[in-house]
Amino acid sequence: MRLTIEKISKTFKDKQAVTTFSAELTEGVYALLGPNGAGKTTLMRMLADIMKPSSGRILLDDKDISLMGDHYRDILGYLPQEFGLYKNFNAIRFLSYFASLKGLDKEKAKTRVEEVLKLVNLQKDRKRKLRTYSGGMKRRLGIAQALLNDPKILIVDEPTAGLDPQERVRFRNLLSEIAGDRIVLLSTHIVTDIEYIAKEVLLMRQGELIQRSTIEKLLESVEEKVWKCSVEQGALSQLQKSYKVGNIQRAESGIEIRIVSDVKPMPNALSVSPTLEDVYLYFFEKEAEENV
Amino acid sequence: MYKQECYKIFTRKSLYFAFLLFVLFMVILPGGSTPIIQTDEYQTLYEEWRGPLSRTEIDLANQKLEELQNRIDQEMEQTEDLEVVFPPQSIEEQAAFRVYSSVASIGRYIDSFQQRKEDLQEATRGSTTTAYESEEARLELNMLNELGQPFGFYNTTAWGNTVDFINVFAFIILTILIVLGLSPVFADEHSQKSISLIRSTKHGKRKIVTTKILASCTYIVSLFVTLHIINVALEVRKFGALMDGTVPLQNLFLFIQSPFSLTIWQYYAIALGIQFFASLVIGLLVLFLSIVTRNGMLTFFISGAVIGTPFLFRQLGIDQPFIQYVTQFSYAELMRVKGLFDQFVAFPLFDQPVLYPVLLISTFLLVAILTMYLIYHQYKNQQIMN
Repeated sequence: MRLTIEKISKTFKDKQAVTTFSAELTEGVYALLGPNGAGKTTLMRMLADIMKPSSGRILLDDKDISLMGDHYRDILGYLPQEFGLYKNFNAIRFLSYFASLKGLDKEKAKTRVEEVLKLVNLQKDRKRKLRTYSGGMKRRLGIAQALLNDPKILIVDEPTAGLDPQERVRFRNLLSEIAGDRIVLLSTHIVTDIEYIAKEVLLMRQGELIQRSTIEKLLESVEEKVWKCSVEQGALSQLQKSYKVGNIQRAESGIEIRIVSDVKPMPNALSVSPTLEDVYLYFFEKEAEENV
Repeated sequence: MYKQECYKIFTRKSLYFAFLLFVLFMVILPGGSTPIIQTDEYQTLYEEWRGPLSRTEIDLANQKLEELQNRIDQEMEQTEDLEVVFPPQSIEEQAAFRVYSSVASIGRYIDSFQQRKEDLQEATRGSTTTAYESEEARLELNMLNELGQPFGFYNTTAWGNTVDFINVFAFIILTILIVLGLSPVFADEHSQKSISLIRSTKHGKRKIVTTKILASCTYIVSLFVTLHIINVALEVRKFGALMDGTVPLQNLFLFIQSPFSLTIWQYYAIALGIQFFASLVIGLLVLFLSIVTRNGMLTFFISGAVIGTPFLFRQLGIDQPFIQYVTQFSYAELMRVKGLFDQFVAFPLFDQPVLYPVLLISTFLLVAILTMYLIYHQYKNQQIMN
């Protein structure tokens, strides 16, 4: 299975949200990483067939998805960043409704609803009205709905936002388990979500794909560029102005900081192994500052 | 999917609240049988006079009415109490007055009916009319000839109320509840942010529309049937029974000028059918607006304006030709039904007169098909931006 994104662009009135984005995805988990406003959600909406590209096309095994219509959406699972639930529904009714929308027959729907409820750990709450659900429970139900039709292409936008650490780990493992024979594209701000499961990372900035690589190669690209050093409180603000400063941790000897820099920032700085957070900082430092 | 779409509509408490409020209004609404009609004296006279009326009978009724009137006048002159404008009458007198005045009125309707036929006969000769006007007169004359002499003395009060309910309260109640119930059908998917989930599913672009339309139709059917059953039950409770339904439609006061050869019962069935069709057409309009505006409240107000404005024009008596066209070919007129049948109205189509009901129903059949197409087209091509 091959999902080809061929030079797609999306323009909203005066704003270019996605610019000639091209990529080819095969089975495995792909992480879409980028700051707010990078165009991740717009790209995912186009892939989910709920938005049309202004130009370019998306092909699944060389077939244009806009022409495939129902057949494409039949193998698609999509969880948007923001979504609402029907307050009067309970989880079973909600999932049964989506099972019928996804074309599952009654018997299969019944089995599948129970299965996905178990996958997202919502069996006990399956008969509760959705208005009583917490944010995390709603998110989990959203994930369950995306998995209902056992999709061959799974597109999940910020799936772990609002989940507690335990549920995040659970979801990560779930994605890892199912990714073997399907294409999974997930966007997230939480880089630890993708650290162990992503086959490749696609970095997006201002609507463009700026880097596409495996996690190992991305980490390699910032090798010898991540430094750890101890500084005094007074020197911190000056360092923040001059360098990309990551974690700041108070220690007995002063303040321990992590700096991403092409050159050694201080004589006592030690080179340390990079993490994906450092990669994010390296590529999106400006945007990261703005988000703070 | 259909079950869940119905569930979404039918679990909205505001609809039940609004419906109950309207039913309460219908129950406490004044009206019903005037006490004199319930008396044995009236019933005896009614049975005596009931049926088609001959000229002799009408003349006799006029004579008796005049005698009765003279007697009342004399009694008024004799009474010394100046504050009593109308002296007390006996039950017999009141019943007789009611019967004779009704028969006398029917006599006048018959005269007008004959006069109309003569005028039309003259118009068909074409000496003072255009070819089209002659054609139109011929059509109306043929219809009136087919009617024979439809007038008679019947107790049609209960039927009158039942039929008038379609024209006034059913129109208002159904319109409000359809607009209220269907405005959120598509719009709420946007406000609840569930639209992205739906549209990314296999059936989220086409079958969902069919299902939502079917669920909306189910809501309309339930509403329509319940409302009319309640109305008939209330009328039966007020009057005891719906009598004289098999007499010509012209015996209802609202339809004395109608050229259509229908019994009251037949008209009621046709009117229900047309109002049901109108309800569906209005439902489609609301669904379309619900897709376009993506906002339930906005849909409610725009639908209200589209349906209510022509009705308002009519109530205000605005008679500019263009406004009249707008009014005549409006959702409200179709929904009210009465205007289609209460008098002869025809429109020229390729120089031939076409009856207003035929043209209006055909127009709205096309409107319904077009709206249906637009609903599917608009929904399919809608993009989710937020």
